[in-house]
Amino acid sequence: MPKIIMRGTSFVQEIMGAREIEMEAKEGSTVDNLLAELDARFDRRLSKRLYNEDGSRSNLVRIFLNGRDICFLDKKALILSDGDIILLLPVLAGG
Amino acid sequence: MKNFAGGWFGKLLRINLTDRTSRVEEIDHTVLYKFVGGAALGAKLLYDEVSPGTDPLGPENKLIYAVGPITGTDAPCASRLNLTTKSPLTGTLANSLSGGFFPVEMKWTGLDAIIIEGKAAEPVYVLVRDNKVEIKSAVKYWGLNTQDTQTYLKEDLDDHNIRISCIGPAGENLSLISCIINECRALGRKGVGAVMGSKNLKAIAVRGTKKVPIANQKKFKEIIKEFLKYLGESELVYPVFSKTGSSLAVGATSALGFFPAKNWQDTGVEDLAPHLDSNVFAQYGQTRNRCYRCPVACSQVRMAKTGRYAGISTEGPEYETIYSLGSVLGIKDPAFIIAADRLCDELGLDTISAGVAVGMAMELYERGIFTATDGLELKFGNQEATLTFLRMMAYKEGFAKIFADGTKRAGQAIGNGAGYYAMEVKGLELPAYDVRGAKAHGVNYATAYTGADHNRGYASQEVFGIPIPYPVERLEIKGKGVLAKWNQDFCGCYDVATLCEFPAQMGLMPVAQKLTADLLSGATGCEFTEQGVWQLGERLNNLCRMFNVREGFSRKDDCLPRRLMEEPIKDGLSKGEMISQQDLDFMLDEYYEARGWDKNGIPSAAKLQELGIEDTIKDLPSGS
Repeated sequence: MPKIIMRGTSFVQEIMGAREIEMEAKEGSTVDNLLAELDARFDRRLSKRLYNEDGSRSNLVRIFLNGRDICFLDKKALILSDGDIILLLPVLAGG
Repeated sequence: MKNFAGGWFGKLLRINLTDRTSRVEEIDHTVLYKFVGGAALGAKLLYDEVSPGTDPLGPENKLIYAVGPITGTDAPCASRLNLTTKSPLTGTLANSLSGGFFPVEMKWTGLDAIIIEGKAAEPVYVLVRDNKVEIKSAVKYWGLNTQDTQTYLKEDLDDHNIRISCIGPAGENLSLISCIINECRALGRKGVGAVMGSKNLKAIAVRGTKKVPIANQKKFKEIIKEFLKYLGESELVYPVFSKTGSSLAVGATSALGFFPAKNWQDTGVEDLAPHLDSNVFAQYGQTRNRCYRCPVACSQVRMAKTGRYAGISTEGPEYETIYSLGSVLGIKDPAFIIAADRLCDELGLDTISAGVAVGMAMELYERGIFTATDGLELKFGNQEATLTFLRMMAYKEGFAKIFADGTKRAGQAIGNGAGYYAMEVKGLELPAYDVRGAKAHGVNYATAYTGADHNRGYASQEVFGIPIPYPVERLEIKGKGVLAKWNQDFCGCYDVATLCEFPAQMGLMPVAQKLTADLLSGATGCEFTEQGVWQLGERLNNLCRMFNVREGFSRKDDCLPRRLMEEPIKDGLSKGEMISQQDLDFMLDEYYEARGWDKNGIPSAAKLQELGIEDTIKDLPSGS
């Protein structure tokens, strides 16, 4: 299974308890699939920040796949491969 | 235009140091309405009074201090001062902005601007107390650092509330990377300290008691309330920024792999946030300082508490200094950065240019291109060598003299390919955003009228993901020329209105121009509109461009360091990124088109006419 690095700053780092953790993704998993797994692992504490009430992705956290903002990636590009890095960067937060 | 009823005093003080005279002059009301204050008022005065080809360090160059109509009022975040001069570092128009309390104190003397011209025969300082202007000997203060200068002057004048803008040894010795300090704040970059030093002017001290008249007090108060409401609703301004200051940017730029390291050769190789981000610096926090009437108080006072730098404190370091005295030197010790920041402030050295100059020297030393360092081991990470080198630059001693006039001149003096390692545009050292991973910053560095200057067109969209005017992908080049123009005009509005850009970028962006227009209208009684405020920013950028065009600048000067165009970022989340000449050309074409300039970067007569600066058309190059 592809090994993925999940990295976060600010409150994401606090929730994960580390700046980055390694996760395993099922073959064919997408960024959203893995984020759902991440959220489940940390008692759904991330989902409030990551998603709006209607389930759409929140604008408050930028999500990058290998440095590219996923807002600008097409669906195919969101399928994960071994060694991919997902960065969760809260908008308006740096340190 | 009707006469104004508040905000401005309508007066400037002209001081000639050569013949030690001063006089107060009326400022034409049309000029005030069109250029308002700060950066644009300064640029207008410089354009009209400093001829092309003027030696920046000669008596014909002028130092112009300008505030604005809301400086010194109850408006929040408005204690800003703009200094305009011709830069000895870049040859372009230079402007520098500073906050604190000097700006309001200057305004309370009843002045909108102070022009310093000529050159004193011996060191002097200027003392302005309301209507009384004195030019006094500064022989006893010459040689003092900036903090001692302020302390002793206050004691000698028996006035601890007087506000002082002064130079340190770096400015006295005409280092082209020197700055001017008021309190612990800097009118930085572009060698403005050397211009002050070239005039034998050690300091300007101001003390005023005049209340700024407000045309429409009721409206003005309502707008202030609205301004404060927006700040209060921001998710960043009070909850984060007031507690971290600008150091919060380290987390974002480092995570995304465009926080420059080791003279820009190792950007992205290591995520430096765990060593240098705002959480780390918070451990050194002592208290917070604020500018006059600022509810945010972003300035973090930090102190090294243990180790060799124990007891040294500084106001900062800001994000830029964490880069220039930290990551760019391969140094990850916050205590050292605090100490080095303090040292630069005392010496009157610009922290960005000074740090980048040291970084260049370190790379040249390690590569064996420049090793004549009198035994100083200039390797990345060497803290002691850095402190020694900084002092030597301020006094222009020994080998460090070569670097004390900036990296561009150092590259030219050393030869042997050294210029490749000079990280500058138009001679101004690069700020802390590796443009290979943030392309709008690249266009801004290339085109900003002061050289590589983040403050002239900060792309918060790329750093913080602020989706205004629209969301952007930081690595794309398409659209970045248009965005850079938008950002430069946005920042320009604030530089003209003398409002702090930080709250504008972080909490007011959707309403910034409207609020600014309302504040200006309320204060002056003249009508300013949202669109009109946008035009203030655009007018500023075009006027300053024309100053540079008149000096011979054009597209050929809108460039980036070769390293950024030939070497991809080595590692991290921006790995492989660079800005090729083709990329830059694409963005420049887009930028010039958005600006209404020709392919050579020269403003069109129609654009200058549209902006009401048709008197500059005569200075367009023939054939354009």
